[in-house]
Amino acid sequence: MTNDDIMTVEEVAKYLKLKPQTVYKWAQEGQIPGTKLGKEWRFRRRILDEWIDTSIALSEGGFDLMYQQSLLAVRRGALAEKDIDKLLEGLDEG
Amino acid sequence: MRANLSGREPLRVVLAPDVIGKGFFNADCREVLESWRDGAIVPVVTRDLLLRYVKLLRGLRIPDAQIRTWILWLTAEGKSLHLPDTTTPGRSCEEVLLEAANAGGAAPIVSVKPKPANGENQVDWITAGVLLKSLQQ
Repeated sequence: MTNDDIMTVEEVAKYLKLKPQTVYKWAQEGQIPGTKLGKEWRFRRRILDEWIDTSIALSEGGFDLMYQQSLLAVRRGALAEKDIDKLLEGLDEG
Repeated sequence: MRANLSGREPLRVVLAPDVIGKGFFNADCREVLESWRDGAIVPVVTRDLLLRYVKLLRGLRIPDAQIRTWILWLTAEGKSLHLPDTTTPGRSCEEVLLEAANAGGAAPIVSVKPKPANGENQVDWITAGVLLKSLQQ
C-alpha cells in the first residue's frame, strides 16, 4: 500500500486499530479527514498520517517532547542565559 | 473556546518572546509554558509575533522539526488564538506585543522584563510569576 492509496472505512479502521463504527462516526462528525463519494467514505493514507502526526504533536506528550528536545538543543549549543538576552535584543529589529 | 481541566476558560495572554527564551532557564517561565500545554492559558499570536518566536527559536539552534511543532502549537485552533492577517513591518518588539494584546481583546502581556516606563497604554504587563499566581486563584 502506498502513501497515496485511497482507503475505505474498514481499511482505515484496520490501519488505525479502531472499530469501523468509530471511523464512520468520526468521519460523519468531521473529526477524521475524509470525503464522501456518493454514500461511501474514502480516505487518503498520506493525509491520515499527517493528521495523526499533528494530533500527536498537539497532545500534552507532544508538547513535552518538543520542550525536552528544544532544551537539549539549547544545552547542546552551550547557550547561556546572556546569549538568550542578546537574541532577545535582536528581536527588536523584526 | 474549550474550557481546561479545571473547568475555567483558558486565560488569553500575549507571551513575550523572552518567556519562551527564558523558559529553558527560568522555573516560572517554564511553568507558564506548562500552563499553556495544560490549557490554562491561550496565547494570542499575530503574524509579526510568530515571526519573532521563530527567529528566537532559530537563534537558540533548535532543529527545524521542533520549530515546526512550536509553530503548530502557536497556530493551532484551541492551542492559540492565531491572528495571521495582522502584520506591519519595521516595528519594535514592544509595539508588536501591544498590537497582539489589543487584537486579543486587551489580553495581558506576560514578560520577564518589567512594563516599559513610557508605556501609556491600558494593557496589563505582568511577569510570569504574577500570571502563575493569578492562575492559582
